[in-house]
Amino acid sequence: MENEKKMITLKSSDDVTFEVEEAVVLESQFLSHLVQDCPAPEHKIKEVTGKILSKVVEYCEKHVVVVVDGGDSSSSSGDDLKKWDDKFIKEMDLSTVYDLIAAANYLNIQALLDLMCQRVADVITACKDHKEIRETLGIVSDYTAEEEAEVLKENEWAFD
Amino acid sequence: MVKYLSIQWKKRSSSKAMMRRGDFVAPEIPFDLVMEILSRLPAKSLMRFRCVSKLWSGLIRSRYLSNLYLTNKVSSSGEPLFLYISYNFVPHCKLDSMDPSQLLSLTVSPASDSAELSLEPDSDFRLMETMGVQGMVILRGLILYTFCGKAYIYNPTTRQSLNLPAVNTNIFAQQEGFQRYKRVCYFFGHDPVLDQYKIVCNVFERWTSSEFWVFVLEPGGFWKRIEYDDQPRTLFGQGLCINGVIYCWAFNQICFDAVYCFDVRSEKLRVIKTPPHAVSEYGQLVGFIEHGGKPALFDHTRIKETGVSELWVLEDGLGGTWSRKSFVLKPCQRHLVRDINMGLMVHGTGQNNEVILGLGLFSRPCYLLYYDLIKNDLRKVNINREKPYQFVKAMDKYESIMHLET
Repeated sequence: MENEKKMITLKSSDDVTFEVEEAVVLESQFLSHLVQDCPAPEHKIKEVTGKILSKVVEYCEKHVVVVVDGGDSSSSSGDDLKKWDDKFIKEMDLSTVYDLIAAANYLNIQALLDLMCQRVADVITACKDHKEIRETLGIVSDYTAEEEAEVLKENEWAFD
Repeated sequence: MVKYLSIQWKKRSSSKAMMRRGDFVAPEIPFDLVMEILSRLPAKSLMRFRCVSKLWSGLIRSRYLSNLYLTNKVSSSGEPLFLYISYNFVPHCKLDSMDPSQLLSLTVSPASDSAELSLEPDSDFRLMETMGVQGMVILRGLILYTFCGKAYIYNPTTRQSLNLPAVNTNIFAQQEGFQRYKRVCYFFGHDPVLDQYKIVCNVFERWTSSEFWVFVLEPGGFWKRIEYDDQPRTLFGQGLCINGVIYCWAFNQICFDAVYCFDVRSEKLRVIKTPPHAVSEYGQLVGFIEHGGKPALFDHTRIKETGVSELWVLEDGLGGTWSRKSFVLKPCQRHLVRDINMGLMVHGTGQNNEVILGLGLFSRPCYLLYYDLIKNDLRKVNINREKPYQFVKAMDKYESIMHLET
């Protein structure tokens, strides 16, 4: 079929532009509908900043390449992809993860959303007690000292 | 529809911890995604999270999250089957003379021929040590059991235990004076439409009367009598809840002749006859299992001698039509059952309609037999454990975080 690659320009809320192949855009359900319905060369995404959009584009480009080249050796490329994903999330702080969750949800990129949700879950799982969870996520306790003692006693087993 | 959570995942804070991390505010994470994240946490971590704040405790206890958790854990976990084992159970023996019994989870990998015990003894389960696990009813990750005449529901994932109120039956009063035979048993069901859990209690007095009571597991729950005036029968086993109907196998004075069907939503009780001659004279050993989403009788009592087992499937639920299938063991697998001296018990079903068979009590060595009825393939699964198992119970594939309250 057509081999020439169609390019599309995405513009972030703060007017940073990204020129990407159409296949990359199709990773996002939201954008693929947008591209189909409105065949303009440039699309502004008001809800996502340039910093976050660059991450989204980076993720989608990586994942598109693997699907296209994958062919028969899907298992090894699957492993590579997982390694890449691990590296991708390790370099990120929680604030970026939250922004990416919001962006992946808005743009409807399920795999990225799953990856980011799992990242937050892993961070919470790594917390050894309730105090660490509070500190990590910035949650303020509304328990009184008595209530807290009671709920701690109830769930004592979870702290060993 | 995406609702936004009114609470912020992160709050601005002037505490040192927050200052160190920089002054940032996370975007509001949609409510359903917060739940999605929580549903990915291991139960232990969720229970720690409950101690963080009242708000989060409320979210974690919500039915919304527990249902999401139930579906996520089934699909993402590679469907392990949990079996709980307790040893050192000796009826009526002094508790201090033996090691405490243990509740352990066992994960059987469908691909391998051996099972690994993840040794996590559950100390809160000690209550049960004097009754073994034979009276346990498993439903969606919860365990209903009785101890000293009281019924309890236990959630092994959150380690929460709930004592149900007693049934006010008249049969108890009569029993005092006449020393008549009476039996109380409990069944556990879930209605997928209204998402309600109900407990059914049968109080049976030898062949003269039988009462049925139902309890809705929710705040303010109470026991309510169900109208029923058929011939009294003894209910056998723990029953099966399939798609909102509890099925239980029943014995009249002569044979197993009926299946009781309790519709969990309408709370109506129906009795269906089993096919004549469906069950051999060793009826008690016959397994009452779920096969392809339907209740079925699995009669393996002649498998040792003949290699043949029979499966009777109730095809149309309350319609009462049974189908029959025979399975002949492959000759090369006959040795797996030939050397067994004790009765094989049906423990339940695993993935892909596999029937799990185990040896009777106090057997050694430890293993289970998995009979795949689709492929007609029998395989042995060793349990890597030095001590013999005494009670094995197949849990279902669910891991529930449901908060129990009445």
